[in-house]
Amino acid sequence: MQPLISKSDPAPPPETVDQPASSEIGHAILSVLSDLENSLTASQRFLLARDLSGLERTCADQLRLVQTLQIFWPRSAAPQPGRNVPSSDDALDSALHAAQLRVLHLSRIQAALLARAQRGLKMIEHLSAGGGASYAPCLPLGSPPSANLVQSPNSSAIAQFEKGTPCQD
Amino acid sequence: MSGLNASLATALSGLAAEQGALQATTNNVANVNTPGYSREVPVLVAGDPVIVDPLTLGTGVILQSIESIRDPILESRIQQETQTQGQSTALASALAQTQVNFTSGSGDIGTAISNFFNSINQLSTSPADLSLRQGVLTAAGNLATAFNVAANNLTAQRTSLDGSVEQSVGQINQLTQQIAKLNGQISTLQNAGQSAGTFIDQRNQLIDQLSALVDVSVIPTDNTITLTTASGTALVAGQQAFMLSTAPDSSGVRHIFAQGRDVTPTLVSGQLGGLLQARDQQIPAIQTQLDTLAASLATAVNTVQTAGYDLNGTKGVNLFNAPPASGRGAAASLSVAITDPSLLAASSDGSQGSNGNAEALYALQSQPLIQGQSPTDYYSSLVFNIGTATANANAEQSASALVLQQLNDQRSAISGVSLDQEAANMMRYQQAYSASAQVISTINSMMQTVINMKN
Repeated sequence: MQPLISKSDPAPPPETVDQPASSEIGHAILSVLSDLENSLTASQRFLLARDLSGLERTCADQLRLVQTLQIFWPRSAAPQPGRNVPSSDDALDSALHAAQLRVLHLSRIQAALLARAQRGLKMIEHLSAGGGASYAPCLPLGSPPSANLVQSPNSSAIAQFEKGTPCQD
Repeated sequence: MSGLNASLATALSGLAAEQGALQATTNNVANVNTPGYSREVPVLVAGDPVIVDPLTLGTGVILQSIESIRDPILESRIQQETQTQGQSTALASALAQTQVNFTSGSGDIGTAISNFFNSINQLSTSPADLSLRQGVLTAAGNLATAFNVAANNLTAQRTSLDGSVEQSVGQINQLTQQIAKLNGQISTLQNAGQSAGTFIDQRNQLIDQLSALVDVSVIPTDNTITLTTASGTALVAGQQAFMLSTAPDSSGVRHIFAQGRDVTPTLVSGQLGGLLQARDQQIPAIQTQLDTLAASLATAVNTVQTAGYDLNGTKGVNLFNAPPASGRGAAASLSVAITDPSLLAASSDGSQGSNGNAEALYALQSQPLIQGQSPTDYYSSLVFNIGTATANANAEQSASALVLQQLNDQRSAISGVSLDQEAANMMRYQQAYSASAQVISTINSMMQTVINMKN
């Protein structure tokens, strides 16, 4: 896909910008949504195949596409599915609506697959950590210690377990 | 002669071993389309050698066993993902049914709320008009009916889910009994040193079916397995199956018991987990929100109504029958308290031409009556939450299907029958069999020579 907005292109002064027709914007959004859909489908395949480089590539693509989408479709003006689509063309409206729903569904699947991958990695992390590892749920860095710390002279390991391990990610 | 006889025995062992290996291949080919079948491979080992000083001579080949090819870790992952799929499928199905009650249409609560406030708005233009007053009462009745229908449908759905829970428990009991029986057969065969591959395949298939119903942990023990739920409730231990049972609580909702202990809250995965999640968490949460909406709306309308004056100039009375103080059951019991349209308190000062109270009633539509939200917004967020929960359950279901597809492909690559591979194996065994037969023929010829020499 040709980039719709190139960062290297100097932005024209506002007074010289030609306002595209709403249907042109609609078609451009539809094209970005279609690319996003393809990218999400591809990243699902990479996720299932544990192909990290492919996953990284498609996620970068998705980030770029979302940024492009935000240029056309500022967050404040983002439509709810099925209404306020910025077009006067009914067919385009329904195509945009359907594309939105597909992207939303694929994003949800990707989130579910990522959660599974994360669980799998956590399991491997535990398996490879050895006996000295803490299996407590990790806490965000800088979190205050848990209130239920075990306070006894020789209970540092138990206290650490109770406290949780600072997250590294 | 003893040397030739030993060679003959060695060649015969080759014939027998290759015949056995060919049998395994034949069985693999025959089961190429059998679901859950794991391909078998012959395990050939060299016979113990004999020492004939100064030589050590081989004694041929032994077909030690026929083993089924399986990956236990892969099997375990398939079972886990099957549980997740069962759970998300049951939940998605239940939520899809729930969503029907909140789909935008002529009889839904959202439309009924809008129609009710629109009718009040119309009344405010002509507060003494009896037909407009009747229109408000009709809209109020429709609103109450919409709440009643939605609440009753949710209750009916919970009852239906309750029936499904009982049905699932019955299926679980049936499966655990079959697994326990198979455990016995497998144990007997393995103790006798025989291959139990077919029975193990059958047991794995039953465990997969069980995984779709409930969260199962498989613990291998000597020649058998123990099955527990994820929280440790025993389902099968060797040849003993532990039955689950159900019994209703005081509210009529069935709980699940294992050896006298209520294990309902511990079952979180599989179809049963999904059914319980829908029955005990999702639907009650929706019922509570619906009750809150009905109670808050009825109370707010009654408060404004009783502050105004009716067509006769008397103080207004409740439009809706007062909801229960706790709010519980408010949606199911919501009803209109008055049938006389003149009793609607549209006036704020007792005069017939006043519409002050009708406007106050209409203003309720946009007032933050429930947790800082207007009735319409509260209802919209309720519908949005149901939609999101349904979409998430559907996405989980799709994700599980993708993962399961991949895991099953991996299982097929490891345990499935490849006809190409089996054809190659068949040729190998056939050639080895022919070679052994040729050796026997040669030995026979040599023996004949020796016998002829004696003559």
